[in-house]
Amino acid sequence: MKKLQDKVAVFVGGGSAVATVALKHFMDQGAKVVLVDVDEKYFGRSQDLRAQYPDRIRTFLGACTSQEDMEQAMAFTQKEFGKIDILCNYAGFHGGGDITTVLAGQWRIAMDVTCLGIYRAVRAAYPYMKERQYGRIMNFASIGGRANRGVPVTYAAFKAAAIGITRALALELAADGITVNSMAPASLDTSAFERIPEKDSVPMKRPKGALKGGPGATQGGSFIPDRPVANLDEIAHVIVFMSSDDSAFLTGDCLDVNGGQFMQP
Amino acid sequence: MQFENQVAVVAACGSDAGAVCALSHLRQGARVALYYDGESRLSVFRELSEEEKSRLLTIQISDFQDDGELKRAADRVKEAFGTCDIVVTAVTTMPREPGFAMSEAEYRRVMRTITNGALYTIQPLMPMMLEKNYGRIVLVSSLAGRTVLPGVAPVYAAANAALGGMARNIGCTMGTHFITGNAVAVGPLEDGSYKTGAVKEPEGILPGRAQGRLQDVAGAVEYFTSPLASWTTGETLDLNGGYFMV
Repeated sequence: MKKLQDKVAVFVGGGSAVATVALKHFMDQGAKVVLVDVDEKYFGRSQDLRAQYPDRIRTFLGACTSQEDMEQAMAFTQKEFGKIDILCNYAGFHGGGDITTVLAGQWRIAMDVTCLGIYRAVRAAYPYMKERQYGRIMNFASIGGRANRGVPVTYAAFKAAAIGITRALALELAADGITVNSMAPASLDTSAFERIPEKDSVPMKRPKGALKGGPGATQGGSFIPDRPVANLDEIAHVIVFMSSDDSAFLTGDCLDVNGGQFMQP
Repeated sequence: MQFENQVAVVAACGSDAGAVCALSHLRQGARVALYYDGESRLSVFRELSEEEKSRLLTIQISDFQDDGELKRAADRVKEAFGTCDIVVTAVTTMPREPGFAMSEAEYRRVMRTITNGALYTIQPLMPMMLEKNYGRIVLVSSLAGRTVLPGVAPVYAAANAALGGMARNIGCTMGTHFITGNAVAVGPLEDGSYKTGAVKEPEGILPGRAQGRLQDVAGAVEYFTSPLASWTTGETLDLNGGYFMV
């Protein structure tokens, strides 16, 4: 039995490398998916999968910075596939800079995309999930929101906010049969994908004090000797778990997927 | 006195906790700049000696979301005191609309007041700390950013969680300059501030101490701002009267 048989998912930020690999797993597990992203060029990554599964994947142009776009994306999904079971929020904004150098514009975008983007998407999807008393919401956070790492302060603050909002939404929506969880991976192997520069990002130098990982860590940060970074299939496996009926008792949690970087209480 | 010859900048908005933190640093020898939102914040300074008054600079801030206004405040600190050793942000606001149905304007206001208030207080003061390779930065946040309770507005939880992320990031990236960054996550306080917005507010387990005292916050902040706290950074101290032990 496939884990996501006949389930319908919306991927906000569906053009990302992580979402594209997750899309393949969702197809393998029997789901239908609507990919939502801000620019057609991001959908190029899923071109082959969309050709392979023409009846089960749709694309929608929309930004998580707009409540109206999110409402329209969910309405589109309902119209195309008849329901919404799963919402995966992949959209995030790295930005740049540390506390001394961060630019006001980057701070604003990070707030709006990484944290408030989740809030808008969930509010838009909620009525459809509430009606069926079922939902799985996965918010893609990061180790940057959990640990002492030299990520930009925009990322550290608003990935932490994404984890915080996950907890609050989990409690808010529990009575309607909806689980809400986040995951916090560390460095990922996206080498198979051509890099698309982050829209509106202003590149900045890493701060002098930025840490690369704990003592004994591999260069990528994990503590598993031959595996410095996660491969995207492993990340997709976690997303499938969080999106399926297997995770019915998991809610408000943040799953750390980082090769053992947090061996602490 | 442990803060003699040091300069502390404290931002106090939405709570008297910041003002009491400022007072405790003043009483222990620091020169203190207090950024405050309304005149009532100054009531804790009613009984200062003339010598203490000479070490206190108060700067009213009309909008803690405004980076320009907070930059100008930092310029005044530099002009008055020449340096900065300690920054404490106790900038908060409570949501004015119900949680899940909150309007876009309101959730932006909540998010920006809490996160911008911290960022733009700290950022323009950084050069003074970098110059001397020393600093103590403490962000006061709400328990709502650490755990969840029925009724808490999601964006309020998010904004307070963001402060923890900022403290960790400051601790990490500024450690090479011997600047520490930490957070204190407080439960509801006796002056009615730092509520979580929950249907039933969390209470501490100590007899007669359901809410935190303002002095409790000052004590925790003082631990982090002390010169002796040089080995604590990136931490969040949960100050909630033992609420997590239930």
